[in-house]
Amino acid sequence: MKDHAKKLTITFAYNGETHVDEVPPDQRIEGVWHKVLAHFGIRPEDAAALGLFKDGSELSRDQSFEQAGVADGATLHIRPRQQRAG
Amino acid sequence: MSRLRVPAPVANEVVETIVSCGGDVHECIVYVTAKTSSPRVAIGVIHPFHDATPVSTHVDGGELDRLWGLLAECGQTIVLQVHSHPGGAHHSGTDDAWPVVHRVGFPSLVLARFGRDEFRGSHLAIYQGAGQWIEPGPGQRHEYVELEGRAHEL
Repeated sequence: MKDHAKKLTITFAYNGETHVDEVPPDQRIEGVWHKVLAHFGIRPEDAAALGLFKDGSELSRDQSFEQAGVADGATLHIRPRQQRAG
Repeated sequence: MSRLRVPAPVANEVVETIVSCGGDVHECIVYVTAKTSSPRVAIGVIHPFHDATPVSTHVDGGELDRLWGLLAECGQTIVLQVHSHPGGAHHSGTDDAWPVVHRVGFPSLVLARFGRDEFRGSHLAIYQGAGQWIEPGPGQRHEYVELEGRAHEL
């Protein structure tokens, strides 16, 4: 039986800074995305330039944390998909 | 945002890395770091694994993932990106669209002539969000970035 009261403790990391949050496993990632970005001082208009990554793979934000395979204690990276200059 | 101070050893390492990597053949990019607890004083230079041509650089997602882990582990943050151009320095459309950090106030510096002129003739742009940048004139750049011992070059 699942314990729906239990939350996942997740560490979000952006450019060397970290933010620890607790989320329900069935929380849709998109539902907390902008709140987490705001914590790092990133504006909503820059959200599309960034992704949320677990072990190098980008997570679909339409999924819940549980559906995305995010376990309690996981660290997720918020970062650009690539960096280009020229 | 307050001014970023770049001590002379860090500024020297930026130039030496870019010149030794790219030579007169291809561009190079480095990321200048600071402690997350003191982000207005630069302390180090990261030279990411990157692809490069005479007119471009590319850092892939795997390398960014590695750096993100390293930065969190070391308590450091990227506070400036610097890359070279083969000729004159300017902030291109590619530079505008693909920075490493998407925070308002993030500075991006472009060195001319593959860095051979060091910071002379360089070009500074400051991120404004949503892919927009401002480009301070020579008399205003010191308000954003202070290159210790090289103020006359910026």
